[in-house]
Amino acid sequence: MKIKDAVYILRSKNAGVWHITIDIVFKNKENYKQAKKVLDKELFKKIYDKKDVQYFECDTINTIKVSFLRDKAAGSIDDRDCLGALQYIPLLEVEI
Amino acid sequence: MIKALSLMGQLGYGYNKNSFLSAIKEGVDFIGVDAGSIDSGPFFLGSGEMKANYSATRNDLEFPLKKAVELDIPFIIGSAGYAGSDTHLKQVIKIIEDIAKDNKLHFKMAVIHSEFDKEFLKSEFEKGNIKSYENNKPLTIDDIEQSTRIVGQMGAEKFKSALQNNCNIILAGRATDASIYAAYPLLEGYKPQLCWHMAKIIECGALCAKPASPSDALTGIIDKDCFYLTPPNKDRRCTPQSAMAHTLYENTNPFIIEEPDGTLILNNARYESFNERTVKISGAQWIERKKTTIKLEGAKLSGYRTIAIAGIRDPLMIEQIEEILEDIKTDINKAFGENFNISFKMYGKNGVLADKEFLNNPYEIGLIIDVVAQTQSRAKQICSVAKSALQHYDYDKRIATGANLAFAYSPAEFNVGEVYEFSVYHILETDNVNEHFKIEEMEF
Repeated sequence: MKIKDAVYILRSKNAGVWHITIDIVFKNKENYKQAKKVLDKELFKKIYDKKDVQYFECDTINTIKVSFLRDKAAGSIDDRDCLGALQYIPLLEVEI
Repeated sequence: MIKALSLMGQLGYGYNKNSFLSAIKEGVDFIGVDAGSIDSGPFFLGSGEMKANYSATRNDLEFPLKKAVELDIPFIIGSAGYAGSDTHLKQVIKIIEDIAKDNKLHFKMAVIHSEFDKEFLKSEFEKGNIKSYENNKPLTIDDIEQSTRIVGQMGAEKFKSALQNNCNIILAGRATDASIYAAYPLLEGYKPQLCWHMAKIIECGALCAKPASPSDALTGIIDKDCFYLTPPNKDRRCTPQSAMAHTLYENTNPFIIEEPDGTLILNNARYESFNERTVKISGAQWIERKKTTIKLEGAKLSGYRTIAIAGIRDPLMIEQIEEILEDIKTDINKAFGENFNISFKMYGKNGVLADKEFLNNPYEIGLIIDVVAQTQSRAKQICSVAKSALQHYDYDKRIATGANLAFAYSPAEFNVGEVYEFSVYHILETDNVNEHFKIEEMEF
């Protein structure tokens, strides 16, 4: 199953000027459990080409949350996504 | 019980009058609205312009303000004029003055300033009292000096003072979204964990409802051991899932929300369905901070921008587009030396994700030639030369020797104006920091 088919919410957004945060809220416990087997901190570091990411598993709400520093502050000259709103796209097709 | 009404998630984009009327008909203790953010980038803070202009802001303030005065309940506006600096406050004060005059309203207003003096910040920086925020770049003295203005996000303290002084209307500069809504119930003695948790969710209006909308209202009712959220609009509902998901929004950590006054911990928060459209929430914890910490925001001018928009559709050109643009860039850099920035954004190819794009099958590219230089005229000149070079670029196997680009506009270049960047986004931790948020009282 792909992430896009397993979720109720998949979104990215700025958390302040320097961070992007991604919320992956799964449709049910089964999808969430399956995702936890495949997704981990290392995978997100690779997908987003980051030295470090904050990775959270929120069992009570079937949610994985990932946060990391932006390459550039929001809205700076070379930034392409001022709200950080489309940074979830690389996750759509990821198999879990 | 205290009933809080969040007018909408962001002032200036139109509110739902029916929702507002039905909420106040049932009775509310106060009305709040968040008017700002840093979401839309550094421009508004840097330039001093409001994001929602005079008419848009007045449109959303006028009727709710009239009603608040009529009912004698507080109306609390946070992050005035979007970025909350003194320039922004001045523009919103003018709007409120006009509303008061045209409607013959009489009330007392507290204006809470949030702009920080640069000399004070420089001395705090030298004392080591300004820190990075979750690993962002350390601050420098130059960052402070070059900023056109620096504001601090206030917590609930000064809102409480203004309420205690019986001000009907509170117009605050930059404030954390939650402070707008936490102050009133805190002052009434409700548990801080409930006040802050409720405030954190309702500040976005009906964005936490299903269907979600930032332009509709939300009611929060706070009780002894829990709080309830209901959208006044009967077409929406708050469910445990919608409220929980919203708590994650725009925070790096799903369990911890930092506020100037303390830390909200959500590990044990409980979200239960109370009725079809109401969620009941409890269980958060709150740890009061010994010393208030303030998030500072500053922006500086980084130049002037000109862009050109061009359509590219020839398959031969699209095949070679990376090399072509690289070549143009090299020529432009050779011709114009330093002190400017030229970039190309290829919408339809990788405009959004750049090097993270994983598909590669464009048949059409919406190209933006983007130049930022130290003056507007230099930006325009460089952009025009780059556009012209690309228009006539003789790429390999070219058969269309007319011109390479489709321009939908004449002229093809647009002066965008001043460009700002964030220079300060750091944490100030010092004694009595709340004293730097000055309250000015006004009578209308």
